[in-house]
Amino acid sequence: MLDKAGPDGTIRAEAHPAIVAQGLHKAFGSVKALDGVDLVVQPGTVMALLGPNGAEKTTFVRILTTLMRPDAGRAQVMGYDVVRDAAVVRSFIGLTGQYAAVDDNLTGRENLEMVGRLYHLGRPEARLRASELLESFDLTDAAERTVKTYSGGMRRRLDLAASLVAHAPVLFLDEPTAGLDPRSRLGLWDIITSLVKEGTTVLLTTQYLEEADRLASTIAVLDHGRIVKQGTPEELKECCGGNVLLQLRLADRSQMALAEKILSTFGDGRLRIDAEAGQLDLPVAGTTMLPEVCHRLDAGGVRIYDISLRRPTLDDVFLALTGRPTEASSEEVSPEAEGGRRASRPERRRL
Amino acid sequence: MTTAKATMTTSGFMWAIPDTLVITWRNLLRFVRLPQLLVFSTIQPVMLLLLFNYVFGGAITTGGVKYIQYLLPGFLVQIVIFGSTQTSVGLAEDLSRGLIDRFRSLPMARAAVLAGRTVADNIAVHFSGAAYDWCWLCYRLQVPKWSRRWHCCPIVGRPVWLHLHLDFSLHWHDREGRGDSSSCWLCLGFPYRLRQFHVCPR
Repeated sequence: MLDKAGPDGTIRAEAHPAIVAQGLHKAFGSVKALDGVDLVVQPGTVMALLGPNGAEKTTFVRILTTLMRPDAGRAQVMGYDVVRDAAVVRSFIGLTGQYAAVDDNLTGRENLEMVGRLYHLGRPEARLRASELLESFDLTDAAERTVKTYSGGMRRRLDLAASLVAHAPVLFLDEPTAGLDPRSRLGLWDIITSLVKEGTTVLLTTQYLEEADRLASTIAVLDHGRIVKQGTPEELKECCGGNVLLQLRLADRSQMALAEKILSTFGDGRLRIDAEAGQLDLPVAGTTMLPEVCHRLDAGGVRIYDISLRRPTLDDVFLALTGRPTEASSEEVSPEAEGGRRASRPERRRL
Repeated sequence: MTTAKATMTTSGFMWAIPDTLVITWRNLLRFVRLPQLLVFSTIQPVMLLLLFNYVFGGAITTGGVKYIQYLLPGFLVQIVIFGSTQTSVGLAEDLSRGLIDRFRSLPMARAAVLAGRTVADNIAVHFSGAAYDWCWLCYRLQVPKWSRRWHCCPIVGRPVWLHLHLDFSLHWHDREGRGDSSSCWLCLGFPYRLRQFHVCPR
């Protein structure tokens, strides 16, 4: 549906990656922001970029959207270099930044028309496109009100609409749902999903792992200016999130040693004990042993307050890969993080 | 179809003027939506003019020239200088709200962002100036030769002041664009005000 025509009018091959970054470096003074980032995003897919605060996700997005020049390395969007062909790249991309970058003193319609005019659509075309977008983003009722009167969710929707004015085939969304209530967030997710169905490529940075899990076909984890891991959400959960976790909470904490002894006969990894909460976490191979565990604990006289099996989530992946030494469990997390980093190397080379 | 059109027209000198017009329109709408900006900057110099002429006027020696003839061009200069502050505050606001980033990621002529705002603010300053000139006419003044030279001040002075203001405001604004006008004021406005050369002849 979207024709990816170059400035010469030729249609580019679908197989061409939408976004390519090779060895991107960027330093601010002595601080290394990006330290050799490699990334490929295939057209029509969603790539979620995860990373802790200060992982320079925004710097990466700013380089790809031509707002900043890399110190070294190359980046291409739709086959055009972001430095050399910056002007062409700008006509291919839509950017929604961390702030809702819309003019408070203009109405919703005026904002979209302005952006349309600046994309060099004709006046009637810009007007038509603004109406279309207002309609599809459910903003028609508020179209003639100044943006100042909009709620946070409406501003975000308008901001996203503004980046779609020119049917940009590549969208950069830098934390698009930060500070939104759950309902608005769901609405925004639906919009993004339908855009991707129509063939738009999306690079999304986010703090919400649920968002990445739901929207992204590929996830890249950025930390310390490098991509430390990349894969589908399932791959990441499998390789770095650990196995299924058996969580046992005791009714009587004095039985800790007893429970530990029983549990240690099961298990597929290291038992983690939180003595204060009376909780034991044990990575297990499958789910079939649960009745057996319950039976043995019961036979041993251990009084159970709560027992559950939990599949690994992206949170586990995130903590394992970027684990900051902020929690008591960090000693157990950091070796995994090292393993994650080591494991990620061959994958990066494949790019 | 639209994609093809958008990609055909990348930024260049060709688009500098149409893009500037779009940005000018956008900045002028700001004065329409926030009329107090314009009303305040129009009324303030007139009020100051009346205050200085009728309240302080008697206490200031003018060396033979009518005091009002000294004051009138002086406040005209002040209108221009305060107008420049508006420009820098507005730009700092755009920068902190991410609007400048949006503009920079669009395939528009880059000079249009600055040019559009300057044109819009110049229009606003000329509006205030015109209202002020009307007061001037009310006095049916003969404009002495030396005073005519003051007229040149806005023309020559504005780019210089604008530059200084931009420099200070863009470097000193905080993320919300606050504190910008005060830092401008402190560094530039205050020494100027201290000298008071536009209200007090030497």
